[in-house]
Amino acid sequence: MSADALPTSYDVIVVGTGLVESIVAAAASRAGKQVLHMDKNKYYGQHWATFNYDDVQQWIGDQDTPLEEKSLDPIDKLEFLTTGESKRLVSNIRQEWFGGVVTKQKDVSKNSEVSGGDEGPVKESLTAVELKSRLASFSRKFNLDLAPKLLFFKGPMVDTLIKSQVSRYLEFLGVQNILLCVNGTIELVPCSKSDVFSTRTVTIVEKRLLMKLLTNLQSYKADSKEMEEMEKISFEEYLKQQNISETVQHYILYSIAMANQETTAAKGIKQAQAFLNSIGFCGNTPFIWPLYGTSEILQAFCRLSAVYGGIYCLNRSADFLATNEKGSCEGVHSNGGLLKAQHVVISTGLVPCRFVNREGPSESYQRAVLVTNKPVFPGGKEGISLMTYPFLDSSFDPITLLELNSNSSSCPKGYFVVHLISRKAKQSTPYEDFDKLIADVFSTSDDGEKPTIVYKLQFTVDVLTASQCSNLPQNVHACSGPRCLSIDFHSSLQEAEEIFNKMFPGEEFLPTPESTEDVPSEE
Amino acid sequence: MEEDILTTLKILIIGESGVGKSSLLLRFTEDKFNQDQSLTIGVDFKTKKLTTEGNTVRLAIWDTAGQERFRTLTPSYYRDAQGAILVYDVTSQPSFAKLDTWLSELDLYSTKNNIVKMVVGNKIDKENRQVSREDGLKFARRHAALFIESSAKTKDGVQCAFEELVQKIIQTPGLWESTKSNKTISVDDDEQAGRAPTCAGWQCNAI
Repeated sequence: MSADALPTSYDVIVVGTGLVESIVAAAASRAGKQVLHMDKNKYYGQHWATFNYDDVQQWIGDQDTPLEEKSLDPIDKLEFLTTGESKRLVSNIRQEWFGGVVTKQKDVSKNSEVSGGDEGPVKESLTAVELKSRLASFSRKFNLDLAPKLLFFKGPMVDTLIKSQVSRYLEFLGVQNILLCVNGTIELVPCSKSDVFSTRTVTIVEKRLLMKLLTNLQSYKADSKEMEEMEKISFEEYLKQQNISETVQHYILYSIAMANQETTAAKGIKQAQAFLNSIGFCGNTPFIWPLYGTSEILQAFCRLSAVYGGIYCLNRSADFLATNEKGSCEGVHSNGGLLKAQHVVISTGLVPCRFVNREGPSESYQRAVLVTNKPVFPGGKEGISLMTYPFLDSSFDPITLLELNSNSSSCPKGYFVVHLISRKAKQSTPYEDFDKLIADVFSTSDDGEKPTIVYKLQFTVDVLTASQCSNLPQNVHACSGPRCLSIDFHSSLQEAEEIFNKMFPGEEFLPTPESTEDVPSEE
Repeated sequence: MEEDILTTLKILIIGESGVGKSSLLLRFTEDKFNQDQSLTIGVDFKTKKLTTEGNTVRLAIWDTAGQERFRTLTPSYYRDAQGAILVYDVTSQPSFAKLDTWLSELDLYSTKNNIVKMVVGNKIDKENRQVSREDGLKFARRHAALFIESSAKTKDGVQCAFEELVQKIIQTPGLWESTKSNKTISVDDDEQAGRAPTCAGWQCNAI
């Protein structure tokens, strides 16, 4: 049908709609290249997708279906390579529903924006079975992220969004609270100067030391002698030398630098600088959250690509890479036909097995998506919270917790969505670290201050990075999956820019459009 | 200059490829028509002030940017829109038949339950009509949508379509007033987002 109307030759074919792929597609279209962007799924984003509740159930079902092996006899001088996702990257999927007390929703069939007579929220107690059907009935009110991430307000991603004007498709919300949970106690981390002044968790003397240290941290220059020295010690050791209490050390180590015991001082300082440089613009934290979820960012790049002529084709797979005898790629096979391209950009998960090295350092991570009924820190401002949960006496890496409420368009009013992210622990049972956090932060009965969990989804993602793919044809470019162990988008943006520069050296990456089309015309 | 504007409304134009979506948009916003307009490239959205019945609004009218070809419009395209124009070509029965699919996609993704829909039969300047006015009107009634026939080429019905749509939106309670309960940030808006640091920041030496 309409698929036959696809042109058969392109400058770039992009297979997969992950973030790196989408940025590359936008940059190439923007540079005037003819781009085809395709994805075998019906939705955008692959492992970066944002789903409503029903979509999550569908996605879980998809992960359970076995992969079909495709093969085809070689045709004239073209070597065909299987490009089906070589191995499932998502594993250990578990979901559970629990009974609990939740806010009763007003009649959802009517427009919920108009609230008639405010009698305050009505609570009701539901069983696990009732909650399961309740969640399904609000399916579209949920925007659940597979790979939740935040933007530094003064970070490179925001700069790129502004410069390319992709920002016009996006809206953000400031993160309200930076929290730290140590020994079961949750505290608000003072981040801005005014926070440091007003905090009650540190003494006056310490405030001065903290103030001095945070100012000092910013004076380190990259590539300086001083910084070289910092490669040799850990950030934790560095902080121990600073005359500050353990509490304050934890604030800086875990929350401000988002580091762990292994982080070098040089890296810790750099990470703290990124954090501190973005403070003071949008409230008292450095972070903003893309309204409706992480997937919005990549969809916005896809929109830019389309505006500049990129052709979008979802629900269509590329089945084979076609290579010639010289070892370079001619294009991809899809629906039995050859689509030619100068360059093929492809998700690492789709790269043929023989090019993938699964050894080496892994960035694989564990995820949990919780739906809860109260905020984890009632003493904080209403809104989005980012919490770090370190393990002081075990080998686990800190867990990152991101709590979203209905303002962030992640869930209906009265509910909260809590994302947990941690490094995939090698020698333990899956989600052991999450269980500890959950026991500390959440409650199973509804009599206390602590929130209860009504829905829990857990899964593990094996990340394949571009550096794990080798000997690919020189005109085939692999894109890493979401690297959730860092909270921001920086590494994906950097990777996309590198791929673009490799394909089109000398061309500008996502320049500002000349005189925009939407100069308001007056009536 | 800004004070007389009641609000900004997001309007979508959807429908099959080649029915004249971009042409309607360009005719309305710039009073231009390009006979040879083939596939849409480089049209994102356009804004225009419109005054009707004493109310002035700014319209942000979003084009599909060609993403309708293989039905790959992103969910974000539909978000927060107050009005949708569903276009078919009166000389193409298939483009009319496909409106059902477009309506269900709109229902699936639109975030406002009471979004105002308008069905527009375009290209009435052409002779080989396949869809009668009655059929178009019946379809629109069945889906509680406004209806008009137009020609982007001759200007017929274009201004009127947008005016009627805007009037209906303004009359719909809860659709356009203070659309957000919380303050969102547009990172490219210097004043709103305050790109200049306040004294809470660590770049400020005032303390």
